[in-house]
Amino acid sequence: MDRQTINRYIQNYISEVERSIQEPILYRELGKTPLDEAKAFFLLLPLLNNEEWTSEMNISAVAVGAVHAAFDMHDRVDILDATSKEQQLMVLSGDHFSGIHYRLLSSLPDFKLITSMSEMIGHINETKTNLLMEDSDGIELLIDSMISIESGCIVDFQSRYGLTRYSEIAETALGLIWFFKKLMKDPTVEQVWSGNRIKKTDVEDAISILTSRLQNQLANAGFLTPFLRQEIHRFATPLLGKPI
Amino acid sequence: MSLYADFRKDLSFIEKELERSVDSSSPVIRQASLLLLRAGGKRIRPIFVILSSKFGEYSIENVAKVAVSLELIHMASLVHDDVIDNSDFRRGFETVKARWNNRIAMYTGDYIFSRALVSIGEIEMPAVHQLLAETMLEICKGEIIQFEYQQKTDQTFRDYLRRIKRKTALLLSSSCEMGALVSDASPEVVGKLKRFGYFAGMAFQIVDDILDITSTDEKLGKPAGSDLLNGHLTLPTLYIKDDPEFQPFLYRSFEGSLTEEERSRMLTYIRESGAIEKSQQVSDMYLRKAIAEVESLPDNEAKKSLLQIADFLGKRKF
Repeated sequence: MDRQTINRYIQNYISEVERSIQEPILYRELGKTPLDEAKAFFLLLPLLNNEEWTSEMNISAVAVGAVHAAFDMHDRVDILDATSKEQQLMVLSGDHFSGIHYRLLSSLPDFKLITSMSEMIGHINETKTNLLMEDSDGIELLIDSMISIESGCIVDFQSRYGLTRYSEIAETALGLIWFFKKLMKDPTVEQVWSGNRIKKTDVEDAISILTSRLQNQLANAGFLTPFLRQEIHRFATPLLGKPI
Repeated sequence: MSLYADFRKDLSFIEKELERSVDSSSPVIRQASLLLLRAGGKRIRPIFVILSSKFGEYSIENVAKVAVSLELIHMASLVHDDVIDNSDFRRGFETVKARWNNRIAMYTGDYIFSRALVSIGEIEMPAVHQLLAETMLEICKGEIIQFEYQQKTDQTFRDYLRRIKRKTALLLSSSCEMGALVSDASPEVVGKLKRFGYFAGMAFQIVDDILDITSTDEKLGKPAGSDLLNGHLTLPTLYIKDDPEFQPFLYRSFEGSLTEEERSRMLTYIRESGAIEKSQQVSDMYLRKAIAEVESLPDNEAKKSLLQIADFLGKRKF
């Protein structure tokens, strides 16, 4: 496995999600829906590490991609003014992507995953609401909240298919990526959380906690090839060592 | 309403299950969801599930899971619709987006939708899930297509009927079909109930569109004529859209420049144009078809209730 192969897996997966969620009017009005490569990487990590990956798992993985696309779309709805046509279609896009995720899981049909994924989606929406309405209450809670939002559905997918040994790494890495983005004022993060007063010192502390946590987890992840460990580090800490 | 007397107990069980389903750990979502539940509504979807289930092996536990899921999907779509329509009031109550903000409305809607799937997830019947998934996607597609028609006057009656099929009739049709499926009714009965739900849903939406013109702001909980103000032509307005005396009202509504006085004159004009009576005739035609489907069902108490409901849907004033 080399970097090129990993990228090919990620791009194939992203194309598959795009095909599943595409709707002609939405595509014409809003363009291609951006899908997160880092999330795709951590979702596909067991496959990249040569775990068994059935066609059923592949459909479920695409369903997870549709859920992420739905989240991203609804996160982009403006807090105060959603009166433009673009904003209104974003509301409907998210709903459409949610419907696609359910149709994919129903086609299997995997009742257990329908239930557990829905529980997780509900929990993520509760967490987002709490973060939006209240000041963050301590660094640990903030970290837990962001981990849950960023990796909850991936962890649920891994749990369904007995791949939980990958979950801790996905949680820590995706949480870390979010805090890096927050620190760098990445527009995709700023747009969503502009109303929340997360302190810069909390973000820096979270990065420090999660970086050390990830290093420990990778040191103990003997089930992963050295190259994949290196790639996880590259995905999760893209800004380490760069001037901020 | 005495119409509900025969199944009040089951409906009250479902009402409790609805409240339990949205008992969120987030205080804001819990408050928003309860606000929506307590704003009421006709609970027509749960009623259709209950009654359709009576044509097979009735189990209130299974019925409740389906009914809760369908009502929550309906509720979630209303929360998101209020963001799209920028509505501050629904049924006389402040909307979630008005009380909090658009994003909270998005998250509340998504939360409610997820709870709908948790509820239906307990029904391990592939046909039920596939039907619900297709119904949801069609409803959403209907809303997306509605955008294409917004503020467009070159619409046909067929466009309108296709739109209300997706907007309302499909979910009611699926309520009946799922109720029958979950109680293991015969395929023939499932088909009849599905068609009853569809025809009743078409009639229901046409009456809704008539009431938007003929009712008062107070009864509607929003300004009468809201459909036109939001850029949507409905059946009564389709009948007179080419009337030269009506057109200035139409264009000013779409522009958002209609004064209160003009709105009142516009509503009077539509009411006196004969368009309401013509629309009522179309609704009645759908009701007759709905009734014909029910009449061919096996005799039982649910059949009587469905006929009463069909009658009520045609005559309702709210």
